[in-house]
Amino acid sequence: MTAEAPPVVTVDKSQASAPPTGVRAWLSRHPLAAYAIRRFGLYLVELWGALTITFFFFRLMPGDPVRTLIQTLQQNYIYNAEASAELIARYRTEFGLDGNLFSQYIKYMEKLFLHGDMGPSLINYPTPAQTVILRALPWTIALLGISAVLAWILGVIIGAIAGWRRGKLGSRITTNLAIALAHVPYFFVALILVYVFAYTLGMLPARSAYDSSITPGITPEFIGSVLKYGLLPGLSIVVIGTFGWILSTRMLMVPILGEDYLVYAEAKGLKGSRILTRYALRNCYLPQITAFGISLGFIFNGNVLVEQLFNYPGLGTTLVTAIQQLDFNTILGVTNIAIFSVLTAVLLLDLLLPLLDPRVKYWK
Amino acid sequence: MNEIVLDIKGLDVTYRATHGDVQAVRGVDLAVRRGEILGIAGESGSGKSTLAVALLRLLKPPGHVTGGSAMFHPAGRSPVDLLEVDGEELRVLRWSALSYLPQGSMSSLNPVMRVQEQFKDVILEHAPARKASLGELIPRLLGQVGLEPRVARMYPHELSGGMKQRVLMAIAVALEPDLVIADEPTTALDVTIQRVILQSLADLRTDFGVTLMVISHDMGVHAQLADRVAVMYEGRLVEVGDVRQVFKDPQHAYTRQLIESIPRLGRRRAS
Amino acid sequence: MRLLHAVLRTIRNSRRLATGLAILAAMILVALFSPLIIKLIGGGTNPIEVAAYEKWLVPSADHLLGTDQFGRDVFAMVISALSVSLQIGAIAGVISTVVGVIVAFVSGYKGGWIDGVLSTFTGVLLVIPTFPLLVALSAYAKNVTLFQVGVMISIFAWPFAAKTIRSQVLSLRSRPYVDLARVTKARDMEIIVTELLPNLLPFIGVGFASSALGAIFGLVGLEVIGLGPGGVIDLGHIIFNAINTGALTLGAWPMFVVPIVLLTALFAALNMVNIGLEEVYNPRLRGVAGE
Repeated sequence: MTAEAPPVVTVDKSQASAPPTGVRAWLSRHPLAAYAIRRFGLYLVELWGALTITFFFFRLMPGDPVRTLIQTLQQNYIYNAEASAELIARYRTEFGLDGNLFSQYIKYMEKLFLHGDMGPSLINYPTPAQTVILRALPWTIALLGISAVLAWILGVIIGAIAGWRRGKLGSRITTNLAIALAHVPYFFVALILVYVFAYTLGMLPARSAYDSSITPGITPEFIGSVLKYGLLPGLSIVVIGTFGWILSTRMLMVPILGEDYLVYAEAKGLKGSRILTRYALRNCYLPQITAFGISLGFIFNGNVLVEQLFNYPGLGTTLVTAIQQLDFNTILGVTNIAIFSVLTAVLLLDLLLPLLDPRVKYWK
Repeated sequence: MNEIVLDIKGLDVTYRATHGDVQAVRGVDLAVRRGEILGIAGESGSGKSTLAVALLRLLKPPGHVTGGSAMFHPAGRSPVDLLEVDGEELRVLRWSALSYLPQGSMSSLNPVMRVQEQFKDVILEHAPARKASLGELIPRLLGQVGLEPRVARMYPHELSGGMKQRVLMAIAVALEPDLVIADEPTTALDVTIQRVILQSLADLRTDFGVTLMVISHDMGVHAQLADRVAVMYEGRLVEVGDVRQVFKDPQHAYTRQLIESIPRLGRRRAS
Repeated sequence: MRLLHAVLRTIRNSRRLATGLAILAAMILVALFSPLIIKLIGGGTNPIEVAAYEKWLVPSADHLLGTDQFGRDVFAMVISALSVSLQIGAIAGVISTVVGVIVAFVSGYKGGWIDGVLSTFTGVLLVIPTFPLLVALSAYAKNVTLFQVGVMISIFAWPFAAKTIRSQVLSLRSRPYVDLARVTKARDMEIIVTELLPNLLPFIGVGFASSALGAIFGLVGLEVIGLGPGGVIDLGHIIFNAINTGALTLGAWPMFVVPIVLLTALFAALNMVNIGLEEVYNPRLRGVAGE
C-alpha cells in the first residue's frame, strides 16, 4: 500500500483561545462563587414557592376567624348594625382578609418581606403575630437545635462504629435495635418518659421550660432550671433521632469496608481508631451533613407534639394553640418561620459542602 | 548477599467458599535474600497475589492461611514468624520493617487526604521523632521518585496513574523497611511510564539496599528488573532461580510457556 | 409465575425482610379477621358499642385489656383500630406510590427542565415541615370515610416514594438495555413498562413501605392532639382518648400502652421491609460468605 501524505490540518489560532469577557469570565474563574450564586437563587425560588403554597393552603381552610371574633365581642357589647358592618370591614382589613384571594396574597407577601409584619394575632389581639412568635422562637431553637445536633453527633459516631465492627455482636444488637426504634414518634417516647420519670418517680418536671419561681437571667440557677426542664423533652428527640442516624451512617459505612485505601491503611500499620476516623469515616460522613439539614423539617414535626405535651413555650405549643383558636396569622407565621429556618439551614449546609469535600467539582 | 531476610516454609492458603474450599497457595517454600530483587511470576489465579497478601497479613475471609511459616529477619530486631505475629506486635512491624507497594491503578490512596498527609500519618505513627524534619523529608522522598515537591499538596484524584504509583513507591520506602512487597507495579500503566517505574524500583535497591519482592504476570518486568525469579502455577512454586538462567534454560514446561508469551520484534508467534 | 419465584427468592435472601413481612402479615391477618375476632370477644353483644359493658374495668379474664370510658372492650377496640390503621396506611401507600412512580418516571426519564422543576418541587415538600399543612387539611376532615382519610394523607406522603424511585430511574436510564430498546424505535411508554418497570419493583416496594410509614406517622401525629379526622377510630384515636381521660392515672394502662406497642411494631416492620429490600438489592450491604 502506498503511503499517502496525511491530510494537512491547519488550526486557526486566532479563534481558538480568545478569552471570554465580563461576568462569564469571572464566573468561570471562580467556580465556587458561581455555585454559591446558583444555589442561592434556587433557595429564593424554593422559599417563595413554599411560602406561596402555605399561604393558599391556609387561606382555603374553612372558618372565618373574623366572624368568630365579632361574635365574641358581640356577646360582651351591644352594637348597632351599621357600626357592626363598619367594624367587621375594619377588622377584615386589619387581618388582611379583604379583597379576593390573590390580592390578599400580594398584600401579605408585601407586608412580610418589606416589614416583617405577619399581621395581628387573633388570640392576643392586638399584639402582632410576629411578637408572639419571636418570644417562642428561642425556646424551640434551643430545644430542637441542641437535640438535633446531639442526636446527629451521637448517631454518626455510633453508626460508624457499628458499621466498622460489622458482624460483631454489639454491632448487630445496635443495628437491630435501631431498625426497630428509629421510626417511633418522639411523642411516644415523651409519653413514656413522662410516665416513668415525672409521674411515677417524680424526678423530673413535666411542664414548662423552667421553674417559674426563678427569675429569668444569665444565672447558673436559671440555666440549671432550664436544663432540668428541658431534659425530658430533649431526651425524647435525642433517643429516637440517634437511632435514626445510627442506621443511616451504618448504611454508608458498610459499602466502603472493602475499599483499597482501607487495606492500604491497615498495611501501613496505623492504629485502628485512626483508620476508622481519618480513612473510613471521613469518606462517608459527607452525605450525613446534607441529610442533617433535610431532617430538620421532620424533626420540627415531631417537636411540635413534644412541646405540646410538655407545655413547653416554644413554637410548637404556639402553633397548636393557634390552630385550636383559628388564629390564622399565627399559624401562618409559625409555619413560615419554620420553613424559612429549615430552607436556610439546608442552604448553609449546601454551601459548606464544597469546603469539606475536596473531591467533588461543583461547577457543573 | 547470602543472608536470608524472609524464609517461607510450607505456606498454604485456602479460600473457604460456600460450595467448597479452594487452595490458592500449596506448600510454597521460598527464601528471600537480603538486598535482592525477587520476582514472583505467574498468570492470574496462580496464587502469586494471594501469596503476597498472606505474607502482608492483609488476607481477609473467606481466605485463610491454613499452614506454614514465614520467618522474617528484620535488621536490628529479633526474628519473627510473619504468619503468627498479631496485634500490637504486628502493627509495630508494619511499614517500618515490611511495607507494601500496591498497584497504582487501585484506589489505595485515601481520596480525602492530601499526599503529604498520607506520608505524615505513617511516618509519625512509626517514627514520631521525625516530626520536625517532615518539611524536608517529604519533598526529598518525592524527588527520589521523580516527582516535584508541589505534588505533596495535591489530592489523589489530581494525579495520573503513573504519578500515583510513584507516590506509593515513595511512601513505601519512607521508613527504609527491610522488605518491600510490590504487587503488579507496572500493570495498567503506559509503556513509557512502566520504564520509569522499573528504573525507580531498581534505584530503590541500589540507593537504599531495600529487598524487593515483585509480583507480576508480565515476564518482561522480571527480565528487566529481577535478580531471581520464582514461577508459580496453580498455587505451587514450579521453578526458582537466577533470572538469566531461568530465561535461558527453563526447567518447567509452564515456565517455558510464560517466556514464549513475551512478544518479541521480528519473530512470528509459533502456531 | 416467574415473578412469584423471584419474589420468594428475594424474601428468603434477607432475614430482615422476612421478619418484617412476617410481622406485617400477622397484623394483616388479624385485621382481615377482625370482624370475626370481635364477634368472638363479644359473644353476643357488640363489644365496641358504647356502654356494652361497665366502664373502666381493669384487665381480667373477661376483658383482656379492660374497658374504656364508654364501657367498650379495649381489646376489641384495639383490634378494630388496628384494622383501620392498616387500611389507611395501605390506601395512602398505594396512592402515594402511584403518584410517586409517575412523577419519578417522568422526571427521571425525560430529564431536562421537567426533571429540574419536579425534583425541586419534590425536594421542597420533603424538606419543609409539613405538619402545619396537615393540620390545615384536618379542618376538612371532621366526618370523612376511611378512604378519604387515606387520600388526604397521601398528599403528604407521596414525595417519599417519588424521591427513592427517581434516583433509581436515573441510574437505570443510562444502562445499555434501555438504549437498545430505544434503538428498536419502541415508544417511550413501552420502554418504561417493559424495560424499566420490572427492575424497579423492589424500589417501588421501598417507596410503598416508606410512604405507608409516613402516612400513618402523620396521621397519628394529628390524632394525638385531637385534630384527627372523625368518623373512624384508629390506633391514634385510642391513644388520644387515653391521654385525654388520664387513663394512666386510673390504672387503665392497656389503653395507653397497647396501641403504642402495636404502632411501634408496625413502624418497625415497615422499616425492616425497607432495609431488607435495600440489602437485597445492594449486595455490598450483606454479609460475606465465610465470615
